[in-house]
Amino acid sequence: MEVIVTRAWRRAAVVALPFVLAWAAVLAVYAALRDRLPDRLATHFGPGGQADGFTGLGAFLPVATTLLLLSGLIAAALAYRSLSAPGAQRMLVAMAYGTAVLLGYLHIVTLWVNASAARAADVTLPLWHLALSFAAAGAVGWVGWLLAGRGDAPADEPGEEAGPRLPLAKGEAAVWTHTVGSPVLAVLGVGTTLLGVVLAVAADTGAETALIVIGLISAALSRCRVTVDRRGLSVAPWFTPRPRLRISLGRIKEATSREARALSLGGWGYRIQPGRSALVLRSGDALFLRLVTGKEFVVTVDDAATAAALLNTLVERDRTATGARG
Amino acid sequence: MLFRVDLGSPVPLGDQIAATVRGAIADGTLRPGERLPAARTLADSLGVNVHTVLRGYQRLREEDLIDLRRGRGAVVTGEQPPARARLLEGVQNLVDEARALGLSDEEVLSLVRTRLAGG
Repeated sequence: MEVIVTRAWRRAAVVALPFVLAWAAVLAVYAALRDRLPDRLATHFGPGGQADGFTGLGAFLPVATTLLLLSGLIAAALAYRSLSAPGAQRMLVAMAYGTAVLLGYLHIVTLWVNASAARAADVTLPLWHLALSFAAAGAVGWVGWLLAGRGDAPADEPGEEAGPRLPLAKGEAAVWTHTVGSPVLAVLGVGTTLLGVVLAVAADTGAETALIVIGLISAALSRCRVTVDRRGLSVAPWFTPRPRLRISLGRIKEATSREARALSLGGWGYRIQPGRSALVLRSGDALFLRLVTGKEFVVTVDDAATAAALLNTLVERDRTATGARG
Repeated sequence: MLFRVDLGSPVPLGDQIAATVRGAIADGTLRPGERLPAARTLADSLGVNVHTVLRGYQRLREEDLIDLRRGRGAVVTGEQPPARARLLEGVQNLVDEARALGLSDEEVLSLVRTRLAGG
């Protein structure tokens, strides 16, 4: 156990490090340029690069500190908690490095253009800075991806077992449907949206729109309806049939069900790992699909045993019908 | 929950859909406050007409097992639905058996009335 704990801390530190470095760099540049900075900083720029939003000099450091260290803290918490999902960790490291560079670059370049201009209203941020910041973020993120390595393959699950069946009469149609809710995603979604709204009111950092969008998406997906019918498996937000995720019967090899912990599937939300994608709303009963491509799809939902049995029956029926047609 | 309909059965599809929901409420699979799938979605899944599903839902509403509201969909009602659903299943069985025996509607009603009067 001790080894795992130490590893978890180290992983958290590795992911938090770029944010701390970016923060330190912003502080250093701020200190170096302090005497040349105007009282009002241009902090938001229009499509032509012209300054169109301003923040008092005193607010710059608190906002920068909150944004960078909070992001670092969130990334570290995610890294600390993901115990057995190497693919997810690798992505997390890449995202953390990229995000830290992007945030650090934009803060520093904001200070720089302000220090170089006579008046805040004259400040311009050439658009190539934006392109460069994304390129730098991409490059450093990629280095993070390489450094993180592939890690161990996911621990493998119970071997082959004949999937359960649900006997259906000829001419009988059956549909299984269930909703599943995620308190974690709901809280996260509402929290992120609120943070975005607060930031939009308090300070114009350019990040609030993204935060609000991400928050609303998380909140909308926090309750889903999972359906098994003659077309296959589909998952959609509970209040609307679209957008939906669908896996047709022809793509499914076999369905099983068992208990799964959210963390062992890579965390909450839509998770992609080597050889597996998963829609994780909570820990507990989950439906596992083995696809004809050899990959796996998982969705956590109550009464997954019935869903698996019906899917296997429908897949078999579909195969027979296709075979008979030629 | 699991919806099953037999396309070859003489029982109307709407009644079959109502019977599945009644059964799910009776055995506790569907709990008070839970939402049924939207009629159009369920019709698509089963490959039947949307009006067929709506007829089934309407029947459940008449039995006070679900609430149907525009925009909110079909929601299982809060007042003792499992017990009520079981009672309704019993009534359905009574009707089915009486029909199988060839009893007329009036004969069934008078049987029930005699029972009720006898306390």
